[in-house]
Amino acid sequence: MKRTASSSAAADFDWDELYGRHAEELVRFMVKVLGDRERAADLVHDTFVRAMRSAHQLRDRSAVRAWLYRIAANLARNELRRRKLISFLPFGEERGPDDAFDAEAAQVHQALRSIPVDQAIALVLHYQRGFSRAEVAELTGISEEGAKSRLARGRANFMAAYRRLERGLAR
Amino acid sequence: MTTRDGDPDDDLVGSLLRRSDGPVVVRPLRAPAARGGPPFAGILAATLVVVVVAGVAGVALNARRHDVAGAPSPSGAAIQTSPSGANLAAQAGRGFVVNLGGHGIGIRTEADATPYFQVTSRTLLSYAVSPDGKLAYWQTGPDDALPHALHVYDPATRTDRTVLTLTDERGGSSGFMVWSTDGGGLAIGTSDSGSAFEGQRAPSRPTVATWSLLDLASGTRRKISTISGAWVMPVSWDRQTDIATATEYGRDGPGTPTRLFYVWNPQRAVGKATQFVLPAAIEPFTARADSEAKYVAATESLQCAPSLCQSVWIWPATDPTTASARRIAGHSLGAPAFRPGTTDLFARMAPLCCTAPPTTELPAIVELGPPGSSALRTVYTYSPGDANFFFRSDGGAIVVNNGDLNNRKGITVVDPTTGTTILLPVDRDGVQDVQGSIGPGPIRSTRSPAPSTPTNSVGCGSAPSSPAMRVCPSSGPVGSTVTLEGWGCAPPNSAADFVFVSDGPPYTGAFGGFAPYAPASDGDGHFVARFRIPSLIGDLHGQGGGLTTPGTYRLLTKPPACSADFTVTASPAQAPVTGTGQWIARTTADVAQNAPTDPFIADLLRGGKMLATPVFVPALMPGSYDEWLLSVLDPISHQTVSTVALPIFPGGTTRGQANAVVGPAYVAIAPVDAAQRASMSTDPVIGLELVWAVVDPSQGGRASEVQPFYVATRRSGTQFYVFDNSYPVAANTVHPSR
Repeated sequence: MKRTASSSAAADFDWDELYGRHAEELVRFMVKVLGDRERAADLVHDTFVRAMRSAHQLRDRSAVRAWLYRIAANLARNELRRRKLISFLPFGEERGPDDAFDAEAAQVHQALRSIPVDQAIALVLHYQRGFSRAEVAELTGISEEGAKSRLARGRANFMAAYRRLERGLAR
Repeated sequence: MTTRDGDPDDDLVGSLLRRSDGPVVVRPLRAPAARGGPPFAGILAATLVVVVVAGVAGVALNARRHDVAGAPSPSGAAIQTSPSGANLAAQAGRGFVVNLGGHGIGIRTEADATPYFQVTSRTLLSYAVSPDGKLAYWQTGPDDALPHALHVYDPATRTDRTVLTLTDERGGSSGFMVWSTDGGGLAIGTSDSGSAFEGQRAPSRPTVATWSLLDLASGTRRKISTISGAWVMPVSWDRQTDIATATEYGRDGPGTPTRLFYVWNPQRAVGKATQFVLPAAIEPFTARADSEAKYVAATESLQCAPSLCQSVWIWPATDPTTASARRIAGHSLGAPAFRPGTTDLFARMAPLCCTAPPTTELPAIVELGPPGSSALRTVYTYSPGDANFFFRSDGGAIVVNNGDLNNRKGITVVDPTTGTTILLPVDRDGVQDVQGSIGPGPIRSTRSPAPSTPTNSVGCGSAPSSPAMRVCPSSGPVGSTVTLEGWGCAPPNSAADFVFVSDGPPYTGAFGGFAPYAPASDGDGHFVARFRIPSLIGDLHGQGGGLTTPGTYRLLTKPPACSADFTVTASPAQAPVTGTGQWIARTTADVAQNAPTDPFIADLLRGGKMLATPVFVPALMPGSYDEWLLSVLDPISHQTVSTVALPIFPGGTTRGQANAVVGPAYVAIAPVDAAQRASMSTDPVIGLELVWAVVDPSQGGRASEVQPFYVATRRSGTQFYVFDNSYPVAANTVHPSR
């Protein structure tokens, strides 16, 4: 049975289909930003719940993917600000059963978390998810020039953090 | 290299950020019910757990626990398994103290509402029932006139005797008292003859109030202290240690709370009582000690408009400075009572009024677990209205005397474990106010002398005669799993409490101890327990604690009926250090003291946030580090805003600090619930340990350094993991080697 929301605008969406189509890419976006798969999955679920509740606000149905990313980016931003994450260094040798440790991936996550949240989100939207500068601007509610500037600063900060980590100068 | 933005790093950033993060988790979509989708109960329930569990974690940073149960072991916080199938029906030889409504007090049996013994004096606030069921009360002249005679009435023999007569000082309605833990004496408060607690001259505060200890066998009265300007209210007296405690009433006027608490501890201060200032103002009439006078609990009442917000404060009887509060977000928590024979605390919980939307939640009697626990279990809910509760004197049932809006009273007897109830008769008018239980106390409150040497030590071998206890193996390194078996060492069908302890010669292990999970004994008092020897043990009354060094230790039942020796042959050689600054982390107190100055944690504590009591969590997997787990609490809501795991023995490195997302403090499920989840009637849980390991949700639950879980061991030896989602998962499905 197809799941639809009851409000008139949202009733037109096939949420199961939308979820099946976009959930994984949104989770990957969240994982990159947050570095936490479980929390990423939770927040993507929350993204869809919020989307269902505010579906009537969506004017352009063709922009649903960008709209979901906008909600997800907001949730990711809030999450990072709330967590005030300083470091996450799993200790011991324990990891998930199918989770071979990837030092470079961990370094990317750590570098992302060391730069301002908005810059990290812009970088992931642009480089990982393939949104253009204009789309990043639209998704994050800033001008295209602002997005360009944010990406440039984010890139510089990210690389500085990444190289610092490479030299073993964590934080 | 040319890039889209003309930035040489552009391609490199792109390639780094496009790296795969491996498989990801996508949850099934659950739509909000309000939008016509399937029920959203899963998410809502999870949210509720976060709020409630985090809300009860309001423990002050410097809260310390000072007995063996305070060892840095999660199993020390286990709620004792209550006997199930309690006999709730009216029992011969048991009765109630009845408020005769301004005409004194009386005693009735549980089966018959008619009082068979009456005291006409105004002694409603100043009587006391002994552990073996005797009633001490004051007999006075009209309007509290002198002389005041202290009587002891024995319901078993229906005999009454006078044990003290006062002609120049007052007992009576202000002669507050408490029995000694062994029932052989009374701690009493008296006041000068010019004072008046009741009557036309009241209130007239005493110029001198005297705190005395009365030995009933010899009739000797020792005046141990005096105060002025308030009435003394004795709270506890342990005749074995001669430690007595008291609070006071009326210094700032009738009905006002107090911050003052007094301790008579001849082991610390000879010949004088010590006055302590409690961290909160408590209602003196609510102060209660447990059966062995180890802990005291009392209610704090705050006006937080429009509701009265109450919380329960708990402290070791001899160290009120370490008092900590139990608060339940959105609720009032008051009228604490220890279950006789245990340190399990129960209280009355009610939702705060005037919430929007209005709550439909009913008030309840809840189990809070032993001191230091963050457990919360609803035992019995009742309709809003007056409700007074107390334990049957043996601790086997809760008696609730509740009234409806027309003040029609009922007496409900509640099984503390199952919540099963029966009703007992009230008087014909339906207004009878029962105040306390009369009858024999719990078996465990009859304390045998503390053995200086083991009384029934046996090695591994054939089953010995009862009572006896054996441990197998009787030696091994830290981390060894040992089995303890006892015959007749614990009350039948009860929690078989025991400790692993070294408390000085002839024991050569590190001074300290810990309390493993207490399994249930069977109908013959036989029990089997299984636990691991931890790398750290807790302190004993503030002394010792730290590395479980090689040497001899004893396993000792509580009460100390049986003991058996165990020799630790090897332990980790490293000093227990942790954190960015590599500070000492031997005990809960060490961590509480040192953690706030650790740069990493100090940063988390900005804005007035505080740390909950640290919890020691051993690693499940060999080669992993044990850890201290810390919750950072919001100062207002007392919710956990982050969780930090600090590895112990990090080998000189500073790695290993992890930050969790907002969530419940440590684990959302109480130990007793975890044990019940994993138990079968034919194969009960005999061991329970909070541990950490990384477990993927696809395997039945999520776990990590900051999200520990329970390993429950059944009697058959099979093990289950109980994660925060409360579902037991067979251990060998997660870790095939187990």
